[in-house]
This record gives sequence, structure tokens and C-alpha cells, in this order.
Amino acid sequence: MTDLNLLPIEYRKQPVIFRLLVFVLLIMLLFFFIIRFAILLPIQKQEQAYQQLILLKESTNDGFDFDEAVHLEQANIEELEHQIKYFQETKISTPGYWKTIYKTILNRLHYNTSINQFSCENYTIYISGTSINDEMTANYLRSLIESGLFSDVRILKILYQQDGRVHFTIQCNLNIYMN
Amino acid sequence: MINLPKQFLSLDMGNHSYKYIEAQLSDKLKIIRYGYCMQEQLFNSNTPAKTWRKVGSRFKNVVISFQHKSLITRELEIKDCDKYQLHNIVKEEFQQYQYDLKEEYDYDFIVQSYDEKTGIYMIKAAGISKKVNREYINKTFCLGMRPKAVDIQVNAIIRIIRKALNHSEKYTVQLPCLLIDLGYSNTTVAIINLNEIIALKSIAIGCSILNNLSDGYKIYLKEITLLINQIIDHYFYRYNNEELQQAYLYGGGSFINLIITQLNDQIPIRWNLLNHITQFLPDLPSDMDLNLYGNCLGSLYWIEEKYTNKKGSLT
Repeated sequence: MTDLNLLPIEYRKQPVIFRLLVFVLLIMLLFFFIIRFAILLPIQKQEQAYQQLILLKESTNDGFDFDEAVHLEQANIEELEHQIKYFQETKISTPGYWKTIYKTILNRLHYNTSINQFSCENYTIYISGTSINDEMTANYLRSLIESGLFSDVRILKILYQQDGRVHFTIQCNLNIYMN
Repeated sequence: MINLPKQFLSLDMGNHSYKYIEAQLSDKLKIIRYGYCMQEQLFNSNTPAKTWRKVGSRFKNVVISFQHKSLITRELEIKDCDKYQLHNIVKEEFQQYQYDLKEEYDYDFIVQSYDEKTGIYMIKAAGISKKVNREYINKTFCLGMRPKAVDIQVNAIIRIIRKALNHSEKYTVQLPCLLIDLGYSNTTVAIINLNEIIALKSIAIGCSILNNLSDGYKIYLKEITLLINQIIDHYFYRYNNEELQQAYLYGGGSFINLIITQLNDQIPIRWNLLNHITQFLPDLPSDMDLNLYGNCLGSLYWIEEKYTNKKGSLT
């Protein structure tokens, strides 16, 4: 009966069972944190993000699928382009449009140069006429190019007559998008 | 199963010198080294831990013991209670002592016996001034050691007597017997039998008085004689049956030859120095003086007992 130990409890080494218990508790706590923050929380966040995505899709597309909406938009754009083209073509057919063309062709004629024939196939125009020499024909060709209403302006045919006059045929394409 | 050797240090923290024994425990106690160093030398240095490692020991696990007048032992009879309530009841008892003695206590208790018929627990409790105890514990930390237990020095001597009885048939002792520890600043007198302290009292007078006062010897002898008589009277008054026949004297003061002679004249019992037991103890270094190292050795026997019983755990 001489086992009295006056070392206070707080200074004594804890028994093995207590230390084991503390160790197990610490391990459990560690596992809890690992499971909570490394597994459960990411899954939860993923689910929340997925739900948010669904809600966002519903609110933005109003029930339609996004791809479907894109297709619809593209169809609308194509429709509009068709309409613009139609209106442009319609403009070409109007008398006002052709008045400008004729005026240009006639106003650009030089002295002693005349037009005998004018024809149009699709957007290609053929102008046949007579001038006193080929220099005047070339001037006329240049003035047509400078008008900006025509492209690919070239002399298709040129005939020199006995009296020195020149019979010419000019081919050019209409610049349909030019106003 | 392999028993890993455990190294322990036993430290008797005196007011003048620190006595220590280094020991290794495997199957039996093996004393490796022992010695002492002056307390002043340690705590006057800037690095006490370093000084201690240099002049003392490098062992970490330590059982300490010290003398102080605040040490009290009590025998309590507790009845009609659950075993688990014992702690609270002892705590209440010590709270009462604390109130009476105006001193906070560190204490411990053991159940000495339990009578099933009466339901009475016989409790042995001991306490020491909390402030003093913590000071000594902190000193061991300061010296870089880990205190594993605080032993009661009288119990250490009981273990030595028990060890001698178990080891040698030639050794005889008249029990109960008187123990007188003549320390440098404290003197402790106790009446013991083989398993317990029957009575104990300490006073704050030690052999240092011989250096400090011209008539120090007279005062010292008078105080010791008074203390011994008080405790013997208390013993007779309390137990009134057996006569004390033997006394062991140890500690630094026991080196003064005149003391044992004069005590012999005044108190008619058989007086012995503790180193008388040395020859009956196993595996002791031949030059070890039990009068100085008795407290240390007894604490090591405690560790040995614990180690043998629990294979190394000392809690």
C-alpha cells in the first residue's frame, strides 16, 4: 500500500485506452472532413449547378431547345435575305431604274457618235452604234466604265466602213447593287 | 514477447543537493549510475537543463521525491458508498483540510481494504501543498525531465525494508518501526509497518541549522527529540498496543555520529542507520550509501514493482 502518487492528474500520461479513443476520434473527424469536403460537397454543388442550368435554359429558351432556336433564327435570316434580293430584283424592273441606265448611256455619247441598237439579256447589255472614228468609240467605252453603273465593259465587235466611220458593239454587265 | 528496456531516473530533490540514480528495467532493476549535484549549481546557471545534463543525468523519465512539512497522511473510513463515489468523498475530505489548514493540496488515495459485511472502505490518503508540489514538478521540467510520479519518501524506505525482507532471510526488522529522515532543511519522522505509514510528521528544521547557529546542535537535537516523542505519543495514544523497538536513521544529518548516540540515550529503542540494510539488498553498487540514496532507491523499487506487474506502464 505504498503506491500513492502525488503527481497531479494533469501531469500524468493519459492511459492507453484514452489515447486510443482520442486517436480514433481524430481519425473519424479527418474522415468526416474528407467525405464532407472532398466527396459530398462537390456532388452537391454539381447537382445545384445542373439544376441552375436547367432553370436557365427554361427561362432563356422559353421551353424551346437552344439549337432549335438557332435554326429558327437562321431560317429567319435566310427569309429576310430572300426578301432583300426580291426587293432588289423588283427595283431593277422598275421604270425609274431603267431611266437612269438609259440616261447614262445617252448622256455619255460624244459628238458624232450615235446608238443604233440597244438590247438586254438578263444583266448583260449590248449597245450597237456608229462613231466617226475608233478614238471616239474608245472615249465612249471609257465614259461608260467611269459611270460606275456597268462592269466588264468591252467592245464586242468593231467594223470600219468605206467613209472612215466605225460601227461598234459594246457589251457590258449591269452593276445591279449600285444605286 | 520482447521486453524493451526502460530507462528511469529516480531523483531525491533535497534543499541542499539532488541525489539521483539511473536505472534500466528489463526483467529486473539494473542500476546504471548514481550521484548527486548541488541545487545551487543547477539553478544559478543560465541553462539549468544543460547543466543538469552535464553534471547530473541525461535520462528523461523521472520519479521525484522531496521532503516538506506540508506532507500529510490520513486514514479514512468510508461506508455506505459506491466505489465510484469514493473519489468525490476523498475530495470533500481534502477540501475540508484545505479549509482548516488554509492550504491547497495535491493528493492521492488508495483503497487499503474493503469489509463486505460492514461495507466499510479503508482508505489511505496522502496530500502535499499544491504550491510546493508544483514548484518541484516545474523544477524537473526546468531541468529538461518528464516527471512520471511524485513519490512519498517514507514509502520509498518501506519498499527498501520490504525488498530486504523478501530478498534475504537473514534480515530481520521489528515492526512497526520508526524512520527518521534528517534532511538539510526538513526532518521527517514516521512510524511504519511493512505496507503503510502509520503516522508521519515533518518539520522545517534540518541539519543546516548546525551551520547557521552557534547553539544549533542543541536546538537541532531538542527539536528532533521533541518530534520523535510527539509521534511516539501519538502512536501509543492512537493504537495503544505494540511497542516500538527499532528505528532507522538516514539523510544527511545521520552522518553526525553524536546524534545517534544521544538519541540512543534519550529514547530507548534499537537505533540503526539505514545503510545497515545495504547488505540484504540485491545488485546494489558496493559503495552506494543508503543513508543518502535510500529515498532514490526506494522510488526505483516502486517503478520495478509497477513494471513487473504491468510490464512497463507507470501511470
